[in-house]
Amino acid sequence: MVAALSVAPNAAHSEFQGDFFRITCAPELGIFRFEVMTIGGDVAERAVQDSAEAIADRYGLYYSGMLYDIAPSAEDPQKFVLSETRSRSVRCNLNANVIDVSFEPKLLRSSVTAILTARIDGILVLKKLPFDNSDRDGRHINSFSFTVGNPNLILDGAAVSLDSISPYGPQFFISKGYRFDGDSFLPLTDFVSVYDEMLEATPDVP
Amino acid sequence: MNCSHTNPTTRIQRLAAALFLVGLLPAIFSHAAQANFVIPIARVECMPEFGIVTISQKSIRGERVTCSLKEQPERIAEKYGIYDISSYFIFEGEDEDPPNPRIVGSRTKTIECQLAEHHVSITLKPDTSRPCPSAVTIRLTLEIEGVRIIENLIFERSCIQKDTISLVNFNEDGEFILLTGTFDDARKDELGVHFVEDFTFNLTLDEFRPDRSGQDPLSPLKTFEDVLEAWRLRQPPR
Repeated sequence: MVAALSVAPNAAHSEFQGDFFRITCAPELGIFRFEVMTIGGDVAERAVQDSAEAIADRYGLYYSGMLYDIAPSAEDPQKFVLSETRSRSVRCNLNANVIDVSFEPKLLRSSVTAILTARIDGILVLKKLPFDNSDRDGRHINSFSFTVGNPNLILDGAAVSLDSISPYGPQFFISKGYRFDGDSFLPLTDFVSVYDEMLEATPDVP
Repeated sequence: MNCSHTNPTTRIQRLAAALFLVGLLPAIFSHAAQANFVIPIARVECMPEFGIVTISQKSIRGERVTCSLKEQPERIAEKYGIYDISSYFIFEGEDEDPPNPRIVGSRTKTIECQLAEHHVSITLKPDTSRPCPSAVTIRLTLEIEGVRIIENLIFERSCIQKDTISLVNFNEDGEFILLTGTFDDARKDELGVHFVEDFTFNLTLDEFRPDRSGQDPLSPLKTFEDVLEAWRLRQPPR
């Protein structure tokens, strides 16, 4: 898989911490990757305010704020609530395979993650799979990737040690390859069961 | 795609693939084995719009990857910021009869990234000491505004211990340098499996500046021990 920005950002000077969905579509390399990432800082904040679409075109970085609206709560105008979410669809033609993804934001208490639907050559492999179902407790799916010629689609993520006192860490990399066997592939849809399978497939997580 | 002719680069990749198939590389790469070349790549992403530059290392595999990196390295570098680390080895002995290619040195690749307020210089070269013959890793030198932050730092120091730098990132907002990776924390379960723990921490450019008032500047990070020591010093007390 392509190395990429895939971890928490620098503790940037400003308070802006933007959640992004990143798509790497590299036909020359036969690689597709969708990942959730965070970029912080004043410069990043200005970039998404001024040119979010241009950033998406140039880097494949989709700012999550492009995909939802918030409005003052009817009960308490001091609070804001989610008023609308939008999905975004992207096609990646790797020549040998075509990947179609549709993603939308899922708002957690203090961050945003993705809900991803993916098709490989028209076959549904991820069906509205949330990448997280909690609020930054460290347990999450981070990326979905597929490489031409590799029979497995790969999910990477992070786990927290069961004996950890704090839910915030330390974190451990987890990963699972799901064999893509065409029409008989059962689409992945439930975060908890997928997370547990990833955990089980990664032997050295304490 | 005709990619069948050999050169020293593919010999390295085939050696890695062969060792991979006999079971040495699964200790390094977590995904299921595949009869294919394993390519060590460095990725350098310069994003002036975000004020960040990121250097990371991973291994990717696949025939198309192999061919593309060999046949159009400049295009792949320009479009994706991806560099085939093993292509910077210098070989001898290719003309011998029979050919007996040996690594005798390495070339360096310097990438300049101009952000809004900072000039960043990244120098990559493959590690020729190669403690694990099947694995190729980079040595990174990083300078920001002429201040050396990292000097010849090896990203993977062993093929047994999973002590690995996976990503170095500079964010000019706040002048933070983020390092992330994994280390073998030396605990073992009853099966002897080592636990691998992630680390992520920030340094600031200011800590390395020579003109800090009253304080000695940090020395450039040169070894994995330097990185771990810097991380431990920044951990909250348990």
